[in-house]
Amino acid sequence: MAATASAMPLPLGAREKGQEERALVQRAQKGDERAFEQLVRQHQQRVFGLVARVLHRQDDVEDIAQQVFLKVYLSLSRFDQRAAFSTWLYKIAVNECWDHLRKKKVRPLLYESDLSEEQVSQLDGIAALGRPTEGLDEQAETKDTLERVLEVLPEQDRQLLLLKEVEGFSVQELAEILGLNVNTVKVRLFRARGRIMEAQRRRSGAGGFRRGTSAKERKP
Amino acid sequence: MSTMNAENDFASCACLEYEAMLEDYLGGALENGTSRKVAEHLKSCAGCSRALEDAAAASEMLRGVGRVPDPGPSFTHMVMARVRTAESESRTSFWEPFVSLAWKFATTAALALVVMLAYATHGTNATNNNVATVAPQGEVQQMLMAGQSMVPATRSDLVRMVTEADDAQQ
Repeated sequence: MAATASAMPLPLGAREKGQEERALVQRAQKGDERAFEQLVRQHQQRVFGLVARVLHRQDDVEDIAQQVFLKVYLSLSRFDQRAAFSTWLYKIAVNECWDHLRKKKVRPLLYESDLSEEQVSQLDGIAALGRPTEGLDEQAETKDTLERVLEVLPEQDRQLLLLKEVEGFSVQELAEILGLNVNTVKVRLFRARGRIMEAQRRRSGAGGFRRGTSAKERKP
Repeated sequence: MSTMNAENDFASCACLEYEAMLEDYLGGALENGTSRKVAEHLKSCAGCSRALEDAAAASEMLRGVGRVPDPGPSFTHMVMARVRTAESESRTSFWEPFVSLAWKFATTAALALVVMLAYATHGTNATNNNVATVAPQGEVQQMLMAGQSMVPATRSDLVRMVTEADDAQQ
């Protein structure tokens, strides 16, 4: 059977880190501003990454991330330490992002998974015309290709994949903060990987769809 | 070695139960026994093998995306500044109801004082002007006078009154 993060014993370093964090939270709950500042410093990169990946837009990331920490500070007295502080913090971050998107009534982005193959190839042609052919940094080109390949995924699968593979969140953490079943997260991650490889092959022209189903059909 | 099932389609084969396990297998998060079971399955299932290869390639490819950079110390300072502002605002708002209640009390007390002063100055004069000594008149006077006569002062008066009453009845 698959060993989940919760079932596995924590390594010694992680346990010590957890105890240290508990102590910091307790100090912050008693009004120690320095302890809270330390918590902000420890988690700001992951919160920033999480917010950036969920919003998928760079404009409001800093403001929302600040708002997240402010909310955490104001509701810290109600946090009973039954869950890990990080999980609680990331849940607040995700909810804040969703609230923000709801308030702004952000129009859902159009993904390649919603388009037919013909439309995708037309779009590729248009995009290629707009791109400079010379002088483009190889790294930037790779990044651009990756961004485009990731667009074949439905929004939540893209978030899951980036948070897991790039921002370093565990399956357990993702399940908790997004309110999903652990196995659902695993299956969606695995399928999302397959889907971006299909898109990559389609782009490079090396092969067609191998599994016989379109991305749209397999969209959860 | 088991025969590879080249036609095996991952999405439609009975291997769906392996999907979640393959994610763990890829991340090296499976226990030894389960890991061996998955490895055995992979030898006989082309669909799962290819899916695993794809997943590994995708993970490799995603390394090129790059993590969102740390916003740095300026972000921490901004957060702490917002926290301090919120703190001072919440401190003000804690006393705000008490202050407003105190103002209400002060206003009510001032109004009451004005009313009492007005009564003290004007009310006294009005009472003096309007009060007059009214002598009892008519029936009231007669009753009072009759009352005076009807109250016996001594025992002999009482006997006399009873006798007079008897005579009057006869």
